[in-house]
Amino acid sequence: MSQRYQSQLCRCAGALGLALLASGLTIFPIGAGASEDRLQQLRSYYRALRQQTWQLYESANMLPRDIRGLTIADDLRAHGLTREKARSLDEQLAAAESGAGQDGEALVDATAMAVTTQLLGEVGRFTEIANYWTGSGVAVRARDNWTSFLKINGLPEAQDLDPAIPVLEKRLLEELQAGDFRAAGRVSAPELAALYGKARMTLTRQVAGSRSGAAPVRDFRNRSAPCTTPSPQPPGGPAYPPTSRRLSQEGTVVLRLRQSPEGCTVAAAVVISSGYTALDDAAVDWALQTPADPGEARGPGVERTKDLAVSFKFEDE
Amino acid sequence: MNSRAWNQAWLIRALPLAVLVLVIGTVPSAQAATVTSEIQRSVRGVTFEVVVPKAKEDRLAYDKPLPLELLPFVERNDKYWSIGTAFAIGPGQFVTAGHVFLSVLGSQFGPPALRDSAGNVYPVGQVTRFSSNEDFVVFTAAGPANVKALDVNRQPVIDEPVYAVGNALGEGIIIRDGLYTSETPEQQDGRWKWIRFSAAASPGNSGGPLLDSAGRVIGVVIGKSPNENLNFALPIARVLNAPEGRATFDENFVQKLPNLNSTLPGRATRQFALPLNFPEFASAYLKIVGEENQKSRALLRKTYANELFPAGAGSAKVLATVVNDRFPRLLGHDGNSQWQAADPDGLSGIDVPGGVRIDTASQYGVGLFRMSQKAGAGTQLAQVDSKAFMDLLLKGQRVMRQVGTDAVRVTSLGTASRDDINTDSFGRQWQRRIWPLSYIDGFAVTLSLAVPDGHVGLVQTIPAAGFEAALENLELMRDYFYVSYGGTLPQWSNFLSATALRPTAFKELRLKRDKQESLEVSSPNLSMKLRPEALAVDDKSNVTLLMTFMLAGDRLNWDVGGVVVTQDPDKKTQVSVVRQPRPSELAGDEVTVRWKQMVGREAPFNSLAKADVTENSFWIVGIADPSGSRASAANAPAALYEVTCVAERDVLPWDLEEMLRMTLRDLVVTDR
Repeated sequence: MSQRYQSQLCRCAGALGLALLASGLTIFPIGAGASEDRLQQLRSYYRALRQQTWQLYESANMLPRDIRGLTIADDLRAHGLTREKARSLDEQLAAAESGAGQDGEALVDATAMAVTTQLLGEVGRFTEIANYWTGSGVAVRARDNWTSFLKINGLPEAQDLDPAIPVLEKRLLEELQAGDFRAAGRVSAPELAALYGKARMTLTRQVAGSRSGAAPVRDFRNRSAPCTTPSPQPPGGPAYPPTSRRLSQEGTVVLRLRQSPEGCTVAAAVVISSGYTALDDAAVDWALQTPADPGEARGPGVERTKDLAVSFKFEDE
Repeated sequence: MNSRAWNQAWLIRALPLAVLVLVIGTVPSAQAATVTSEIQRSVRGVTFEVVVPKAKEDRLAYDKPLPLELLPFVERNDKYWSIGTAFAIGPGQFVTAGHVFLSVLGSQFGPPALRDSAGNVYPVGQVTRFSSNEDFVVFTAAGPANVKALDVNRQPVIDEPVYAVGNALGEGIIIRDGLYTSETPEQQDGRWKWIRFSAAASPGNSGGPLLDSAGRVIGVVIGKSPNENLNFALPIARVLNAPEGRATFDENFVQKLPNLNSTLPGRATRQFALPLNFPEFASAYLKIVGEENQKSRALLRKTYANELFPAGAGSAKVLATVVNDRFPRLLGHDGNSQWQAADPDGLSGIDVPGGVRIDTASQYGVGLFRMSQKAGAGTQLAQVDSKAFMDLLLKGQRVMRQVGTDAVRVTSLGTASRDDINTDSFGRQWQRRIWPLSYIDGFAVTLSLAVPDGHVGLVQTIPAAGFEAALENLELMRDYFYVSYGGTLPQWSNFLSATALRPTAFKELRLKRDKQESLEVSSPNLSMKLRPEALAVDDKSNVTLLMTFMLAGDRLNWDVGGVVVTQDPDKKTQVSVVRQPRPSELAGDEVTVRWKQMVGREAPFNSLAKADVTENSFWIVGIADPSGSRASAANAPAALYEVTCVAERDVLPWDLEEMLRMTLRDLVVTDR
C-alpha cells in the first residue's frame, strides 16, 4: 500500500507570502500616483522581504544541513539580502524619501525605479533559496541517507548505483557553488532525490523477494491493545511523523505481520527499513493498531504471516 | 535577644507617647471594697511616678508645624515622660518593676527619676537589688523627707480585696480595687507564684504597689494578660528576701536572624555586683545582653553551619544563578527553608528634583533602598553628607510622626550622630550612619554601599533599648546583600577613583574608554574590549557589573559575574556577558538543563540570531568558554559565559551575527 502526503515545509517557509510579494512588485505601477505613496509602498515591500528573511533564517533550527554540510542560514547570509545590499537599499530609500515632496520628482522616480529593480532581484533570489531549502526531499543529505539505508538493512555498502547519480550530485554542487538556486532547487535537487528514492525502492523490492521468510532486521513487537471489532472502513495509512515530515524524510518500510485466525495483526516486525527509524516506528505502530480485517481471516486455528510495504511519500507539487 | 514577650515585646514598636510601661487596656473591676482615706493619703505619699526627661530639642524637620495643640494638656506641657510607678520600701529605698528601668536603658532621654504628686523630681541614686526574671529593681533616691515605707503583708489570702496603686496612663497616682483571684507559677521553672488579681491595671501601673484592704503591700504590679483582666504582681516577699548587692540576669530567649527560618532557644544566667548608679547599671546590663547576644548568635551559626549559605538547601541554585538587578536584595530562606535570591517586597520609587530617583522596598523585615542619579544630573550623590543623604531617602521612604490624632511627615533627621565606614566579609565598604529619633526614643540606621550611580543599602528604625544588639543583627545582613553595580562611564570613573568606599574586589578592575572609542572592562576573571563595530559607547552608555557570590574551593567570594553594556538607557541595544558556573547536582533542573544547552551550544545558545518582530526585539546568544576550546559534557569547564547581543531596531540576522563575532573576538574569560 502507499500513502501520499504533503510536505509541511512548503507551507511553513512562507514561500506563499513571497510569491505574493513578488507578484505585487511586478504589477507595481511605476510612475503613477504621488511619490510619497510609491515610496511608502516600496518601503513596505522592503520591510516584508526583511521579515521573510528572518523567518527563513530562523527555520535553520529545524532544517538539517544539506549535501554541502551547510545550513539555510549560511545560504541566506552569503546569497540573500546581505549587509552590503541592505545598506545600499537603505541609502537609496532614504535618499528618495528625503527628496520626495520637493522639486526632485524626477530624481525620486529614478531612485524608486532603481530600488524596485534591486528589490525584485532580491525577492527572486530569496524565493529560489527558499524553494531549494523547502522543496520536497532536497534538504536531506542524499548520500548520507543512502548509506544509512544500507546500514540499517544490513546490505553491503558497495551497490550498483544509477550512474546518473554521481553526475547529478556534481552538477548540483556546482550550481550551488555558483549561487544558482533556481537550477539547483527546481531541477537538480528534486531529480537527485527522485533518483535516490528510486534506487531505494528498487533495492527494497529486490531484497523483499530474497528475504521472504528470512529474519527481519528488527524484531517482532506484540500488540498491546486488544483487537477492536472488525471495522467496515478500509484502514487508513499511518500518520506521518511530524519531525520526519519537517525533515522531508521519505521512504518505504516492509513489515512482516503475524495475523490471528480472526484476521487481527498480533505482532509486527520490520523486514526492510525505510532508512529512518521514525518512519519504521510509525509503520509498526500503525500496523499494531489497525482493527481486525475479516477479509484476512483464515478460519479457526489458522494463523498467518504476511509481508506488507508501507510507503511515506510527499505528494508531488 | 527577645525576652519575655508579654511585658517587653511592645518596646520594639511602641511610640514614646505611650512610654507608660505596663500593657494595654482597662477593665473596671466589679468588686468594690474600701480603704480608708487615711490609708489612701499615706499610700499616695509613698508612691511616685517614674519619669525620664524629654529630649530638650528636636533635630527633626517636618512638612508642616507639629500640631502640638492636638496633644492633651498635660502631655504637651510636661517636661518628662512618665514611664511607670515606684514606691518606698524603706527610708530612701524604693522598688519598681525591673522592666520599667530596662525600658530606658540606653535611652536618649537621660536616667529615670522619681516624681511626687507636687511635681518634685528626685534623681535615682544607686541600684541595690535587681532580678530580671522576677522583674523588680530596688534603688535609692534622695526622695522627700519623711517618706515612711508601707507595711508589708507577706501572706496575702486569695479572694480578698486588693488595690492596685499606680500612675495609670500617666494620670498621676490613682488607686483601683479588685480581688486577689489566683496564683500562676513563674513561667520558666515555677520557682515562685505570681499573684493574679482583678484590679484594673493600665500602662504606667508597672512597679506600683498591690495592697490588701489594710493598705499593706502584698506585691509589685508587673503586667497583665493581654486579653483578660487577670493582672500579674510579684509577691513582695520575693523582693524583700532578695540578696542585697546583686543583680541577677536570668532570661529565656530565642535567637534568630531575619533571613533564616532556623531559630535557637537559649537561656542566659548571669550576675553582677551592685550597688551601681543608673548609668553604670545600664552599661553593666547592656554589656551582658551584648555578650549573650553574641554568644547565642555564634552558637546559632555553629548549630546551623550546614544550613547557612553557601551551604544549605537552595544554596546551589543561588550560586548557579546570576541576578541582574541594580536594586538590592537579601539572600535568605523561603517558606520551605530553601535559600533564594528573591525579589524584595513592595518595591516603589519616586523621582525627586535634581535628577535623583529613590526606590525602596523591604525583605525579611529590613528596609532596602537605592538612591540613584541620572546621567548628567545636578545632584552629585557621591558627595552628599549625612543630612542631605537622609533628607533624600525621606523623600522616598515615608516616615510619619503621630501627633495626637494627626500625623506629620518627617522631612529631615539632621546630621547623623554616628557616621563611619566598616568592611564586610567580602571587602565591601559600608557607610554606617545613625540618627537619633527622639520622638520614638530610637534611632534610624542606614548601612549603605556606594555604587557608581549613587547608593544602595539597608535602612532600619531601632529602639534605643537593646539598640546595640539589634544593630549587630542588622549588620549581619550585610553579608547577604546582593546588588549589581551600574552607571555611566563618567559615573564609573568617579566611583573608581574614590578609593575610600570602593570594594576591594574592584581594586584590579579597569573600566574605561580608550582612544579608539572602545570600551575596556577587565576584572580578574573577565576581560572584554567592546569596539564601536560591536557597540559604540558614549557618556550616556551604561555599564552594569553583575556582582555575585562564587565558591572558590571552600571560600565564598564576591566578584564580577557578568557585564551588561547598554548603549543608551532609553534603548534596547546592548551587549551582555554573564557567567554561568557549572551547576552542582543540587542546583535543580532549570539550571541543569540550561547548562547542558550551553555545553552543547543548543538553542538558544547556538549563535543564531532571533527576532520577535511584533515586539521589535532582535537578539543573538553565543558562548564564551574559559578553556578556549569548545568543551564537551565530559570535560566541561567550571564556568561558561553566555554572551548576548541585543539590537534596538529592525536589523538583519547577519548584523547580529557580526555584533556577536566582534564581541567574542575581544573577550577573554578565565576561571579561577
